[in-house]
Amino acid sequence: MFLPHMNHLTLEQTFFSQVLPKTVRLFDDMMYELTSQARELSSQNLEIQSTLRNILQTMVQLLGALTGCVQHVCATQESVILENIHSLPSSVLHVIKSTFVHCKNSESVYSGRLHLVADLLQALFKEAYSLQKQLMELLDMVCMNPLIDEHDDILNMVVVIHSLLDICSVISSMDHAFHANTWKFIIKQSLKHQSVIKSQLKHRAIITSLCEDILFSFNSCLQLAEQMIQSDAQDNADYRLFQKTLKLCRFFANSLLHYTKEFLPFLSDSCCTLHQLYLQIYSKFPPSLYAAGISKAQQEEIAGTFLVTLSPLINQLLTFQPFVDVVLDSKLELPCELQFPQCLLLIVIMDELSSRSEDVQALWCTDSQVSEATARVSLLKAIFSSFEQCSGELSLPVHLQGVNSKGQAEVAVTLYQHVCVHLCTFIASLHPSLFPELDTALLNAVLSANMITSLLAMDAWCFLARYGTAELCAHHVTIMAHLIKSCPGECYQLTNLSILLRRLFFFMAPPQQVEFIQKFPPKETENLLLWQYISFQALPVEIRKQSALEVSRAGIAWCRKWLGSNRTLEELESLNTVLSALLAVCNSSGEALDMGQQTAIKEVGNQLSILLNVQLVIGQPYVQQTLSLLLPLLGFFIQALDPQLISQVITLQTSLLKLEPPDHVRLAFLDFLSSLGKLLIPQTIQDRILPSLSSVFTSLLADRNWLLEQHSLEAFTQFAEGTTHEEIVPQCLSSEEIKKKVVSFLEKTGFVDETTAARVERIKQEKGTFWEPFAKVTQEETKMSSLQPCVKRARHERPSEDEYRSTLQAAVAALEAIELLLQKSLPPDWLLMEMETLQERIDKLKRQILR
Amino acid sequence: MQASSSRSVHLSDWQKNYFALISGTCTPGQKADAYRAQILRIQYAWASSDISQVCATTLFRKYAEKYSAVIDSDNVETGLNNYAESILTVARSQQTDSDKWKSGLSIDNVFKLSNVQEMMRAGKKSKDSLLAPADASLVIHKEATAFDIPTFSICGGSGESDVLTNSAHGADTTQEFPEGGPSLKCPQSAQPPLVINTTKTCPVASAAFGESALAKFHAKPLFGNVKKENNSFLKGNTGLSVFSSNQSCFPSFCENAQDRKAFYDTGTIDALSTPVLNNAYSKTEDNGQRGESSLPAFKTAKEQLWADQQKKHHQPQRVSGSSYGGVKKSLGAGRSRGILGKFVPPVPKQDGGDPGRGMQYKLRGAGAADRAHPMDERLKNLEPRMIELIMNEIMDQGPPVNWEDIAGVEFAKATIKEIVVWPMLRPDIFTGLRGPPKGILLFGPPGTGKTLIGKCIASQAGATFFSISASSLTSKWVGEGEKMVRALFAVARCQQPAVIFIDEIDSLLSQRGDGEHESSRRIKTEFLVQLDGAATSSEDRILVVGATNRPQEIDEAARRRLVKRLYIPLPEASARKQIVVNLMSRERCCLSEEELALVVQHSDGFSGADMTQLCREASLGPIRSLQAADIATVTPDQVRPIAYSDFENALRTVRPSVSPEDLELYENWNRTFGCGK
Repeated sequence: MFLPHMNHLTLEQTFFSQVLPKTVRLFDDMMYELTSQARELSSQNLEIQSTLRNILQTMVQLLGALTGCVQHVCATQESVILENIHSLPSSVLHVIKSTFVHCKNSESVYSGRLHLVADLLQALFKEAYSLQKQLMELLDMVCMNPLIDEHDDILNMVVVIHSLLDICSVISSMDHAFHANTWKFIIKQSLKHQSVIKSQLKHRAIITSLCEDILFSFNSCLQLAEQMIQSDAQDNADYRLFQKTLKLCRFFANSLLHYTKEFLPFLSDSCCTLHQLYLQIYSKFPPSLYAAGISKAQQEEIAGTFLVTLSPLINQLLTFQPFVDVVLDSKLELPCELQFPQCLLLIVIMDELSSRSEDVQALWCTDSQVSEATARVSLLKAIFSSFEQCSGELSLPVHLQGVNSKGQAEVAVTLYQHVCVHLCTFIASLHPSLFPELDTALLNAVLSANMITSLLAMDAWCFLARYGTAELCAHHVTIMAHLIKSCPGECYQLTNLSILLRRLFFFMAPPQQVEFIQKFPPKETENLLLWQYISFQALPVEIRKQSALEVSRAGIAWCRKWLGSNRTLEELESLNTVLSALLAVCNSSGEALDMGQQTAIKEVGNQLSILLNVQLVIGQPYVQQTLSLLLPLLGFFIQALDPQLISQVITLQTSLLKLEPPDHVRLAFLDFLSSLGKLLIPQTIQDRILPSLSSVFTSLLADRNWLLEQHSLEAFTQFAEGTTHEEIVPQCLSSEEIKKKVVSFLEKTGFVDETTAARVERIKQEKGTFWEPFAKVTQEETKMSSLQPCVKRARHERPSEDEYRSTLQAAVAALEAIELLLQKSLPPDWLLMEMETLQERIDKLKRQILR
Repeated sequence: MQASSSRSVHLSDWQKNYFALISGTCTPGQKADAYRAQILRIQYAWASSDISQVCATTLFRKYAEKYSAVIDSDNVETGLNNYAESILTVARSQQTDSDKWKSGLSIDNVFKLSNVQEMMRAGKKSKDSLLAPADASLVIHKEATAFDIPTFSICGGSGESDVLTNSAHGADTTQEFPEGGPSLKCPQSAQPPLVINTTKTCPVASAAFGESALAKFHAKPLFGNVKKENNSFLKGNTGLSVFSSNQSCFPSFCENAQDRKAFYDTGTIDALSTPVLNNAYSKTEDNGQRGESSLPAFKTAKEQLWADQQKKHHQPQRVSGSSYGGVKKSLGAGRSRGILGKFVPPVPKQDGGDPGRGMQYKLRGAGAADRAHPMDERLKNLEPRMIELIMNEIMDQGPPVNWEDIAGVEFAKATIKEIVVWPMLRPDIFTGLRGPPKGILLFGPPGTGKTLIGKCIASQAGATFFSISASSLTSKWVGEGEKMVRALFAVARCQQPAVIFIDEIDSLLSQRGDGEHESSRRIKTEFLVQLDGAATSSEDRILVVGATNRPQEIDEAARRRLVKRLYIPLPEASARKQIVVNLMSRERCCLSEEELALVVQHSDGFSGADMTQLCREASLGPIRSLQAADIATVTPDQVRPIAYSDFENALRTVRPSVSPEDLELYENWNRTFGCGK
């Protein structure tokens, strides 16, 4: 070797600092020449060919010389001060990088003439490779003195590490082992000089590129696994490659883990990247809807080798506030495929938190304003909103590993059950001081517009009620009761609350139930608002009887009062509440009523149902509600009803069906109709009832709405099974289509065959529908709430076609009535004018429709 | 169209869940999943505006109730117990401070939650949208035709009484909301402007909601006719609007509730006529109830867990002990003797061996008869009469037989165990070449236990046993014999594993010759086909056991199919001894070892049946020695035990039934075709 033995510093000053910049310039020039002339390279053009080959040859030699230099420095002294050789590493790294870039791009640079220079490129790559290896060896020996704050020295080291990082991204797709080694070196160096360079390193860049590499190799892993399924036969080469890539994944993940552990305080701005990494990985992995199709065995292998390293990562980040801020960001809007992974992540976090201290739990469980722009929601709130977004995964449903209990084999459970179990586990271990956060979050979730979310919150609440004290349960029930009583009208929130009240009531201890009865005595009519939702089955026998009696007594009295008064529509709302309470009594504790009460209820029902006519039902939502309550009530007393009344009800149904009543009215018909199966219709009115009955069934069975069609099928089956008038059954099945439908329902056949892939596709599409209206509703609500709260607003659900139809029917009916009046008597003089105004309005409406 | 296809997909999804739910075979977990799937479908239908909100609410309520019945029930069979088991498994290690939980919700602060306020707004909105203010006073009356003149007089009448309630209502409102007062306090003065107002707004409102056309129609004639009616109508209107505006003014909803209460009270005074008395009554009731509550007391899951653990740790002995009876009962369910075997009480051999086996045997037989009837597809093309005949007459359900019940013939027993019984018990091991033969033939002199062996095979292998004699196939149903054979095999196939035992098989499968009857020939052919032909698959676990005294007469094709041909020779000395000992053990007998050896020695050439006959004869000896007159009076224990002399006498009368020539024939045939030593 031509370098003399001399001190590094002298070498640097006299040689490296002079020669190396020139070398780099020379190399760059050559590189430029190469790339610019490579395009003209062809097998005919020997001149260029030889020029290029010469350049390449020179470059190979140059790299060799540099390797020599590095080797020399390595060999001569034991420890190296970076400052003393500072121009060497930077120049060498520059050369290495541009060499690798050139090699990587060679395909496009030499466009098809690659074979003419392939041998030299190969040599070039090899030289660069050994140069880098040598350099890394040298850098290994470098030591820095932490006592002397040599700023340049630190900067040099940082520059070296970041240049290596650049090289890493270049070689990532070229050589796995080398790539991994370079990474190893980077991590090792960063940790070795941690104390001095920690504040200088660009942690974010390192984390980002490490995450990119993890994702890249994870994706190629999945691709390989997918190919293996397609190639089907056990291809050993493929499998080995898969394993190798998987190992690489694991290595990167471990590096990340190591790095995060050491530099956690500096990673505030990288939390987002880490969060995204987690989500990305799980979105590609089964059971995500967007996962690659890979076999079970590979799935387990990946999970066992690679995914296990992610949970310690989460563990580390658990106490790191910036991470909490990122995960629970109130403005976090994730694309479709990341919503499910987010839900999984939150569950993992909940599991972890169960065993953590109060402080950590509090960090996650409280809302807070992080900065002006961002706010953090509580974990509990986040889990519900994230769950809400997983409607696709819920309806498929995807399965996850269940809890292994009592040595039973683990079974896969649905996402819902998974979330529910882990949420309840978290609740069970929640620190008492955080409990107020919990029941507020649960209440908010119960009031959600999304049924399944609300259901989850109810399930959790029911667990809470059983796990907590009886007093707590009673307290919650009281709160529910107050809320329900104060709610001015029907809305989905009220429905959810009432369902929860009903469930919680079962969990109340008898003494508390007695207290509840004293607080909200059933004999006061205003409390019927509550009692309509409560199942009397939940009460002990004696109390049950007493309160059922009181409810029915109050209810009957109110109904009689109404019947005796002038019966305005305004009071119909209260009447409906009363009817609903009576229905609840009949359904849940019918046997507690004595004959007298039963007859009284029946009588009231009779009188009310006589009042209802087609016009009223079509026109007034309250009357529709009354009818929907009356029909099941009459169904309950079907055996004791006057045949005349039954005939009347069925006639009403027939004429209503012609006018297409709203779907919930049709649904209520079914309750009544199915109970008719138990009835023996007297000979005298058979002729009248049976034809109408069959026409009602025919029309309901042919309902356009599939849910109603299904319930019609159920009701019809129930009717047909019970009835003694068998001749009517074929009459209901007049059309071939209906007959086919009913037969296939009875035979439990006629399912649509849907492939798994098609199902997944459909569910992905449905997800949009699930989510859109709610998003719209919330948007609209927020918009509205900024205005004065009490201005009268349009109903938030779009008026359906049915509503249009019924409104129009009513208008037509009114016109018919005028027609009849005109026949009977002279018209008042203002009529013509009014008619003209009406005409104008109609024209205006027409224009609106056309627009 | 896409809509119709998605409709049918949804419908079939729903139905799958529905059928699963009504099938009664799904676990609570599956039920909960099915209900959830249905709720999701309802939600989807609502979200995609397939159904109205009211309909969605009704359905949601219905299915949520069914769902909660599954989730909240702590019945192990039907409920999930709020997943407490899984949850507590995971949560076990962690601290539980549930008793320190204090709710953060209170009646005051809960109304400040934005979601609750949202709910109040939504409720208010829906209330408003349900009823147009103009319709509020719409009167519902009996007649369906609105323009029937007489109705108006009724209407007017009721209207008059309405004034009273309305004014009372108005007064209430005035008291609570003084700012709304003036207009209500002096309705007279407020009247003129309001009239104008109504005439103007009414048409607008009626156009917006078609139904109010009806209201308008009502109102019109009232205007002209009854002034008071008019008045009350207007007041109703204003009352309502004041009411709602007040509602919006007061943020606290408690006050609203009070308001509502007042509103209700006007209508329900009579319902509350005896409030005090009622209250007192219910109170005493409640007190009584508290003491003797028959419902299970409230138990938190935590308490339950503790109780469970207590049980688990402290009562292992009792648990296994109490399950003893259960084990005994369930032995019949075909469980092989495992660890639980030690609980089987020792039962004397004579009673028919292991009771478990017996029960198993019987259960199988009985169960099979119930099961097989018309359901099985394989029995479709057969006449039900024949199936019944086979079920009723042929299927043997006699007492179980043990290997120990058969004396001697050790080789035959060992062979049968190896090739028949074990494969039937463990079909998974005996596959391929190890697979069991389809048929075996037991031949030998009469009365050597061939039938007993057949029975023993069936009971030991836990198989259904069909015992038929060839004659029953040939003679009883002339002309239908081959159908019977087919039916027999079909039934056997449904009752696998099965053993078909055919006694005197020579008469069924004799050499086919020219002078033979057509029907018997057909039977033979059918039998051979069934035994090893296209109709039989290798998976069928049916074994045909033939027994014959005349092996030489069997058709060669049949001989081939009865793969294992086992010679059942006359009992050897040891076997004969065993027979005697076995039979005598049930009688009073005073035979010494030497005398026994002598009996055995003298009975050389006897078959098993002959030995039984010998013992029978000998046992009559003591009776014969009694005086004829004594037979009426003697007590059982006065009869003397059976002695050697009785055997000596018996040996004089009982002769071997098999001649040495016959024996030689069997030996020869055994050497040619037999599978034994």
